[in-house]
Amino acid sequence: MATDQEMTELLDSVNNLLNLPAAQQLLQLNSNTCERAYEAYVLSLCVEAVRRAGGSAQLVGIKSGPNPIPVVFRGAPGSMASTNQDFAYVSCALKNRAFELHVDVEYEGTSGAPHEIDVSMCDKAHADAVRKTDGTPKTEGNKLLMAFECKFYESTPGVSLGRTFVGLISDCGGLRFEAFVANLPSQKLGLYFSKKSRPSPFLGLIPTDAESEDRFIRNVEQELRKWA
Amino acid sequence: MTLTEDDAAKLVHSILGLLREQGAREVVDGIDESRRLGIEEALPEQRGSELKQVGRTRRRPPTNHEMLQIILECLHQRLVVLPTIGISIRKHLGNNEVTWRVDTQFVSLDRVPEVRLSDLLPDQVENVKMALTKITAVCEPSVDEQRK
Repeated sequence: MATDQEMTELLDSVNNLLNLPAAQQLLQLNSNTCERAYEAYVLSLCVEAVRRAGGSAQLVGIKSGPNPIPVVFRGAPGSMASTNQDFAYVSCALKNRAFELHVDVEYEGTSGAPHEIDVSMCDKAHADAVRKTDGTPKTEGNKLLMAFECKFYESTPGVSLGRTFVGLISDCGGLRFEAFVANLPSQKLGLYFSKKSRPSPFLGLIPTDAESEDRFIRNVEQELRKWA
Repeated sequence: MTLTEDDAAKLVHSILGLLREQGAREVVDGIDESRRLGIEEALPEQRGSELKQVGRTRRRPPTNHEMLQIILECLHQRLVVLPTIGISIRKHLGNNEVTWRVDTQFVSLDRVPEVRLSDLLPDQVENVKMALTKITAVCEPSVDEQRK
């Protein structure tokens, strides 16, 4: 049992921590910001996977072209063709394949229903056509190559998002790779994704766990090598 | 230091109060959601034909100790992991100036304001990490508590 003095000291430490200006700034960010940051993080790991596979990856602004400053990512899901902001994507090449990485883009599934995909890998020729026509990218026919659902959990993970992603993927046709990526480990989600033909789970993927990052990058790299 | 359930309850009450005072509404919402989801545990080993007919897990409310660990994990994700995500984005994309903006034709800026990568990387964030690490070490459940 803690003494009164120990408890007082502990409560003071908590008070001091939560009153640090840096802590206050981080605590007041809204959850949407954390989600968007986590998606950009997963995108950045996909960029690393492309490079490790021997490919090239370059940031492009839809209006400004290569190496935009600043790099603008979507703060909410939207159209791949939108030029309302200088939204950025990553233009990649690997052997004779050309493809792009996007964050928070809406696709049209095989049923015709729209789907928001957190991080996606899309065939370049198809993405060019989408931008030219101001249309919507399709998921089928090797247009959408990889899809990643990204979740920065701030509460105990449940299985509902996993279930939703499985439903989404079932409307996408055949993909090269699909994965559910989250910052927290979860036995429940692990069990849910353990069934055959379900997306690959990467649960507990965070920068402070180098092994988790490496495992994710290696898996994406391997799929890229198999495809290219 | 070994914390009793009453000690843990005091800490939980105090941290939640401070978070509410600071307007960290979404952090508190996440903690409340975890409380609602409860703790899932396997049913104890039993014999009997009934057990074969039912699911092997059950859900129960978290103890004060468990709530404290949930809160500390939540703070760890916000105060320690989130800034490292910012650092990792900068490292892999090779660019300091990353911004999140909405398509204003569809979403109001009032609802989703512009955010910059630097917002995830406040000055002296290392002090936050050190302070939280110390608190977490003190609050770690004892071996006896973990076995319960």
